[in-house]
Amino acid sequence: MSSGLIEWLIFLSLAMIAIVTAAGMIITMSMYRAGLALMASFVALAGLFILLNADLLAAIQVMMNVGGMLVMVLFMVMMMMDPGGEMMWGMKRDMHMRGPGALSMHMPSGPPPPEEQEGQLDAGAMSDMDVQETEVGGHDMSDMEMGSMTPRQNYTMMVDMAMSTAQLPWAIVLGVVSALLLVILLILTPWPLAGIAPTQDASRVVGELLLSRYMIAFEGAALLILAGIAGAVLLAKRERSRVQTPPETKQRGEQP
Amino acid sequence: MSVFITPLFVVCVLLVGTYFIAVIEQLLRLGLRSIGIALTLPLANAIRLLYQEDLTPRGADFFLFRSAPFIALAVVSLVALVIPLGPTLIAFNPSIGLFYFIVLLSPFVVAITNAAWSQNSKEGLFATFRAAAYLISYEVPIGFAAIGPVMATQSLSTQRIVEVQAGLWFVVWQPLGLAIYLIAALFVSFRHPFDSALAGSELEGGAFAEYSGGRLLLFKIALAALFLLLMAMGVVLFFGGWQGPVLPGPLWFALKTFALSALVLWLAHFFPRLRHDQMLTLSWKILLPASLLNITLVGILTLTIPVGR
Amino acid sequence: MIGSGKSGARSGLSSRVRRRVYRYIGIDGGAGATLLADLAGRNPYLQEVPVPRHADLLLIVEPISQKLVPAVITVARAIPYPVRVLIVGGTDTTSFTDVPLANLDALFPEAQRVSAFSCEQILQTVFDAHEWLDIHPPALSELEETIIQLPTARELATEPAVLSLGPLQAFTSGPLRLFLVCDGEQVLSTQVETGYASRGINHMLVQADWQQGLRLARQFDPLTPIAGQLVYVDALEHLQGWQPSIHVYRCRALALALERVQNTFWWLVRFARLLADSVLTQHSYQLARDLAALCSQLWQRPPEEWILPHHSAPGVRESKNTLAQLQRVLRSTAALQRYVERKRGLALRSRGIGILTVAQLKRSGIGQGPVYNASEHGRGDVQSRLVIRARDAVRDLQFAYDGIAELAAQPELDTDIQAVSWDIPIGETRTEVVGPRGTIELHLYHRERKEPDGPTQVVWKRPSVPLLMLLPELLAGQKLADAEVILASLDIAMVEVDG
Repeated sequence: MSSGLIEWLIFLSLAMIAIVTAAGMIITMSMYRAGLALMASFVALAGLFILLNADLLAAIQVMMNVGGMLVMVLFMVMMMMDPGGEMMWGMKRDMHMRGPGALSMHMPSGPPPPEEQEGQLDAGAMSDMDVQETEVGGHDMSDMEMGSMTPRQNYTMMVDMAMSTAQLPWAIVLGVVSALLLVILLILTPWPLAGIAPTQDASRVVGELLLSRYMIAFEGAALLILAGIAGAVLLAKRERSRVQTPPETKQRGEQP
Repeated sequence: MSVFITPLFVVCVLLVGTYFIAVIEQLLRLGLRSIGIALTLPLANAIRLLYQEDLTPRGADFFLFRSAPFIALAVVSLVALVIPLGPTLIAFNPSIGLFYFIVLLSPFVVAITNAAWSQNSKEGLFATFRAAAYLISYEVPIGFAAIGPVMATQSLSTQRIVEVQAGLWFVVWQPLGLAIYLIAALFVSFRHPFDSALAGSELEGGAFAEYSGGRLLLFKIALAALFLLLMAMGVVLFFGGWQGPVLPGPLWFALKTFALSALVLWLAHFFPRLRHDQMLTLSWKILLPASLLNITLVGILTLTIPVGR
Repeated sequence: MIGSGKSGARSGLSSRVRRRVYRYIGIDGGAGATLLADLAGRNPYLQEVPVPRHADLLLIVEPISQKLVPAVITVARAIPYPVRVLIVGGTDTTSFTDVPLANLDALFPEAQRVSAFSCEQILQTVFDAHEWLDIHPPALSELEETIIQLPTARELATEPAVLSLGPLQAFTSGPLRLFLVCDGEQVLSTQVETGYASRGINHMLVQADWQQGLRLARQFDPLTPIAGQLVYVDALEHLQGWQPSIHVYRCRALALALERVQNTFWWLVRFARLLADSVLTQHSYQLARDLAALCSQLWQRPPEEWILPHHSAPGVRESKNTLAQLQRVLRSTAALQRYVERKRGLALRSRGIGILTVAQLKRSGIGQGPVYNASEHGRGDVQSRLVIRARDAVRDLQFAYDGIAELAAQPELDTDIQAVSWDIPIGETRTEVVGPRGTIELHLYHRERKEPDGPTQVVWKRPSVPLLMLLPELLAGQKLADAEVILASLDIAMVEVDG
């Protein structure tokens, strides 16, 4: 097998991985998996960089994205509800919706039902609360009672849970058109070929540039990072007094 | 064909090295008299794990649970490519070899985090956060400790770092760097005394609680292999790699790696398992200033004393 | 290396590779803490794992109460195939016939059985068993839910996690279920659920006669049978108005002291394994094994046969080695005490952690015992409890050494060997012995003679009970890993607590 063919195969597989995981990131229900998929997509891109002999770029790509994505995923786990997508999966299964459980819900098809009149509401006590709750995304499980909601509210809730809008078809058309436009532009542009070989010692060149021409940006970035660290430490240092000290102060006072 | 031979060779060398690490561990635990048991027990353990049923808990995350051991193995295999076994025996020699090594260590923690998270249990969640905290904590010390040899060599390539040490090993004038590197290496490979994320009794098994059978075996191999690779890189950085008088390069390299591993494992067993916040304190309050000091010292020494050029 | 050598060596190596490695998880119903601690270090082919998923052998130490059965079934179901079960049953468990103990033979019909608490027998059964069937785990019925009280005064908007430790956990000897309400790594509050090791001894005692009562008293804390037997026999002798002779008194005190030291050593082994401190584990394990071997050879007859009311005591077996061995054990224990005091690595996990003040202990009703001594003479943290226990062990060993030297020097025994008398007059009495965890008090009331003649009322005061009451206030505010270490440092025996 010639090395050209192997290179092609590797390029194709890396490119497919990058595209598929990026798509997976968008359509999956689980936040953790979305973060991981983005990480995988970037790592595949790093593989493509290595194919292009840009080792430093590949290493930097992996370094920044793996660490950064992991921390981002962890913050999502801390702050958000249902980061693993399990609640949504359960709801999808219970409501017998179509499609695999791990992927986002489909938009309800058909036109939205008309607004209900005042007098036609049933189980009226719950309905106002329902509207408010579903705005936020239906967090409170107690009002997932299908029977107590009007079709309009049902529709709104489904749209919310699909994390999408009613303009989805238009968005798809626009996306496909712009993608085609970009691809045509890519193919038709006469990219200039540099006659020189890629830099062998990229890190040396980058280092010299960073400390000569881009010195101010370099130092400024360091200052910004310091500010970020100080801010993070301050934000994370919470009030420990009420949780911990009562037993401690008692003990300190009574130590022999 | 070398495209297939090289990775296969790397994986085989890795497996053999992992076996010897397990043997060294058993020797340290059982004493030097039971060498027969130490040689066969790792194999017996591995066979035992293969016989065991490979359970997947019902609530586990489908992709993450299954992929985590393979991510770990992939990381270990990729990282093993840049270790120079001999004067020309290196699978992948980019100009940024060391940087590639350090950077590719982080997806391993991602594998552990996935494993812990995908168990769908509270103890797993604790392990997830602990493992991620260690990722952030070890990156800076290990990077700074490894920069010492880079400063002396003026290159990031692992092969070049070894070649420059022909006159004097870097350990002689960068002992602080070695100490920081070894402690950070124990962090990276989740070894005692820093195995709080995999803690047995403390956290109901930690990240590996729901793994059994073949998957557990893959994880254990990946962990041992990672430790081996970190010690190998330590030898490359500080102990002159494959340099040595009489014996061939690869043999010297193997001897030095196993000697360093035995030393580190022996020293590590004098400490109890450190608590999570003690580990973070160690990393941020002790290792980080020490590594900054190390860089300063090494920088001064590199500029003032013409060594090994 | 492998492959080289004569064919004999090769077959030896290959047979060793094919030799079966067992990974076991031990279930301790309350009586097996020492046995499991001993077993874990015996043979490298029988390894202990902390998680059921990594195991393939389930080792159950009887007696198991009915309440613990769901936990046992859960663990058995969690072990991947193939899974085997070994049931270790003590011979004294047959005395509990009224109490609803679990019928493990019905749960695991394919299990192997070992009848004595002996590591050698267990190893032999495990490695030589010919037809050992893999079990089919029994079905699990619905578990009832436990309500956890979340702390109300919470200023943080985060959601606390409730970690349920147990009931099978390594921090106490015996099953205890702990619910730790954690905010991240910090424990906010604790809820304790006991009763998993209860066998109803009090109830049995008043229904049994004196001799059965003696067997029951040995089982009261299976880890300290001599203390239980001694306090019961002392109570009977008080009632009878009989004073034991100096020789008998000395022998009994000697047996008690040696049992205390043994308990301390095995507790230290478990504690060191918890901390994953291999140096401490090895030292204490070696000491515990040495002392166990010594004690088994020391007496001419085992203590349970001669600690009887009105009975005299035999002497020690004549052996020059005994004193030399004991001296070695004594020196090693002193070295261990110094190690625990000074080792900085160990101090990282034990100094300044879990401080109990004397006032707190007094408020809970604890006025003696190693935990109290540690708070009184030391800082009251985990390290001081370690040091105090080591110091007490040294003292007990010195006492034992002197006692054995005296006994060996006087070959004259009590020539009038009296018969055991089970005739107990009416009365009530209160006796106490110093056990390894504190003082065990027994109030024995014998108000009327009945058929069969036995005590009318028995009240035990056990040292572990007030310690358990202290747990919620002690663990609040601690970090998770520390909470577990503190719990282990208190050395709570759940069989004592549950009765």
